[in-house]
Amino acid sequence: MTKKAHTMKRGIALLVGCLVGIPAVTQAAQERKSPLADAPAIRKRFELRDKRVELGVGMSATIGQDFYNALMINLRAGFHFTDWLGLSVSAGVFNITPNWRSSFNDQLNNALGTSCRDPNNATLPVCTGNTAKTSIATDKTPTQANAAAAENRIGQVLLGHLDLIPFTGKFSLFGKLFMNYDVYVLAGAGAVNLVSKGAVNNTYCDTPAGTCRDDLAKPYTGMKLAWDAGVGMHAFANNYFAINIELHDLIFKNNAAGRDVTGSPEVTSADLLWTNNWMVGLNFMFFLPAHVRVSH
Amino acid sequence: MKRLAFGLFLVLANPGFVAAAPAAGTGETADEKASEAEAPATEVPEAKKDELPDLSDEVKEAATEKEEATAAATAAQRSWEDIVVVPRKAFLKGGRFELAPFSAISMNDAMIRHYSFGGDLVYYLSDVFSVGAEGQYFIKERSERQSLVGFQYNRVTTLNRFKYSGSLVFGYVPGYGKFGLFNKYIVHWDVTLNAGIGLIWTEIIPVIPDKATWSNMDICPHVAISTRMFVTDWLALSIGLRDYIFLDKFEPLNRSSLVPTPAEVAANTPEVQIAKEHATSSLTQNIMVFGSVGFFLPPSFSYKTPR
Repeated sequence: MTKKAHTMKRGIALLVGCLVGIPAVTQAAQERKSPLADAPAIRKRFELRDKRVELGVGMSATIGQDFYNALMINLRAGFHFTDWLGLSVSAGVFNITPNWRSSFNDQLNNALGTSCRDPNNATLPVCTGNTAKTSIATDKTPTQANAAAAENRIGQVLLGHLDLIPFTGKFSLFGKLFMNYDVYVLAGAGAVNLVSKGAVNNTYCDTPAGTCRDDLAKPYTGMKLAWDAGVGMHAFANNYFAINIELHDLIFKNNAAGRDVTGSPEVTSADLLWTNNWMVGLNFMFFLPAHVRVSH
Repeated sequence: MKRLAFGLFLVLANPGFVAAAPAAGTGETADEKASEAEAPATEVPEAKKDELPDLSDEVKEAATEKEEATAAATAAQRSWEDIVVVPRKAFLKGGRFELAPFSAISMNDAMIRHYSFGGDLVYYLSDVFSVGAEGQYFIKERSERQSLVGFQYNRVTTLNRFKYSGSLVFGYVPGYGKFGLFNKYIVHWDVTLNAGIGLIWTEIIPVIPDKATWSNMDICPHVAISTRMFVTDWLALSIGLRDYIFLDKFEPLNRSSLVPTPAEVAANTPEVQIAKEHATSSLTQNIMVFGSVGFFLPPSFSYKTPR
C-alpha cells in the first residue's frame, strides 16, 4: 500500500466514524432523561399521615341555621391508609348552647309577641276594636310558645367520611412558627339527632264563643340520615400534634319550623325539604404512633 | 492535522450534538447560574491565580491571605437568616396589572341570597402591595324560609335587594408559600388581605307588592381575605371571603298607616317619598364567598435577583 492510499484510507475511516458516531451521540442525548423526571415533588418528606391513627377533641358550631345554632363538644378519630387517603369519624356529642337563637328567630319571636291567640295580648290595640282581630279564629299568628315548641334544633351529630388529602405543604407564621399542613376534601354520611324543646299545644278556641281554629304544628325530631361533604385542614405543630379545622355541609331533609309547607291540613313527611346545614369544627388532634417516617 | 480539523468541524456542525451539549453539561441549576451571574466581577478565577508570573511568592501569599480573610468575613455574615422560606417565588406580581372577573354568593342572610358577577382591576405597586377597583352586579333570590314565613307565621319580612356596588380596594399579601399536589406537582399560592371603601346601591322590596319601591345609595367599606393559586405566569385562581358593612334603609313597618303631614299634602308629596322619610336604618353585613380568575398583564415577568 502506498503512502497516499494509506492516507486516503485513514481519511475515509475518520469520515465514516464521524457519520456513524454522531447520530449515536445525538440519539443518546435525546434518550437522556433528567434525573428529576420521575422524582417526587418533595423529597425527604415527613409522611405525617401514612398508616397513622389520629384522635382528638374540639368544638364544632353550626352556621346560618334558620332557628337555632349549636355549639357542640366534638370528638374526632381517623385512620390514614396512605398519606393521601383516610377514613374519619366526627361526633358532635353534646350541644352546649341549646337556646342559641338565630337573629332571624329573634326577630320572628318579637313579631309573634303580638299574636292575638295569646290571652296575655287580649288588651292590645291590635286585638281589640271593630277592625282588629278580636278572636283567635281570625288571627292565624301562632303564639311565641307554640312556635318555639314546634321548632327543632341539632342535638347531636355523628358522621363518617373518607378524607382525600391532595394538598400538603409547609408554611411559616410571621416568619417564626413553621408548620406542616395539609388540605383535604371529605365526603360521607351520618346521622343528625334533631330535638325540640317544650310541648306543642295546637288547640286555640275563642271563649266563650267556642269557635276553634287549631294551629298546625308538629316538631320534626329524631335521628335522621344526613349526607356530608366538606373540606378541612391539619396544621402540624410537631410530628404528632395538629390543629384541625373542618367545614361540613350536612345535607338532610328537614322541617325546621315544624309547620305546614304544602297547604295540606296536617304536617306530614310531604312538608320535608332538603336543607344544607353548614358546620365548622376546630379540633386538637394527636397522631399515633408518634414516630414519623421520612420519605426518600 | 487537516483531517483532524475536518473531523472536528463535522462534529461541531452536527445540530444534534449542539442541541445535546447543554443537556450533557455540568448539570448546574438555574439558581447556580444566577448565582454565578451575581458573583463579584473583581473575583479572580482559580485558574488564573496560578498564572500570575510577575508576582513574587510573598505578594501572592499576602493576596491569598487577604482573600481568605475577606471570605471568612463574608461567611461570618451569612447565617440562617440568609435562607428564605420560599427560595424563589415562582410568580412575581410587582409592576403588573391583574384583571380578575369573579362570581360570588352571599352567605349570611337566611331570607335573601345574592349572587354577584363582577371584576377586579388591580395594579401591584410591589409584590405585596396593590391598589385597584372592584365592581359587581347582584342578582337576588329569596330563600325558601322567606317564602314560608308569611304562610307559617302570618308575618312578613322587610327585605332589601342589592343592585350593584363599586369600591376602591387596597391589598396586602402577608404570606406566600407552596404545597405539593399528591407529592407530584408543586403549586405556589399566597394569601391576600384587602380593605376597601365604595358605594353600594340597594332597593327595598315592598311588603305589599303594589307599593312603589325606592333605591338607596350607601357608603360601603369592606374587608376581605383570599388565597390565590398560580397556574401559569399570567393566570391565577382565587377564592375568598368579602365582608361588606353598610348602613341601609328599610321600608317602615307601618308604611300602610303613615299619615302625611299638612305640608306634605300641600306639596303633593308622593307616598313613596313619605315612606322613604320614615325608613328605618339598620347596619347590614353582607358576607360573600367568591371565586375569581386572574389574568396578569404583562403576561410574563423576569427576575431581578437570584432568589
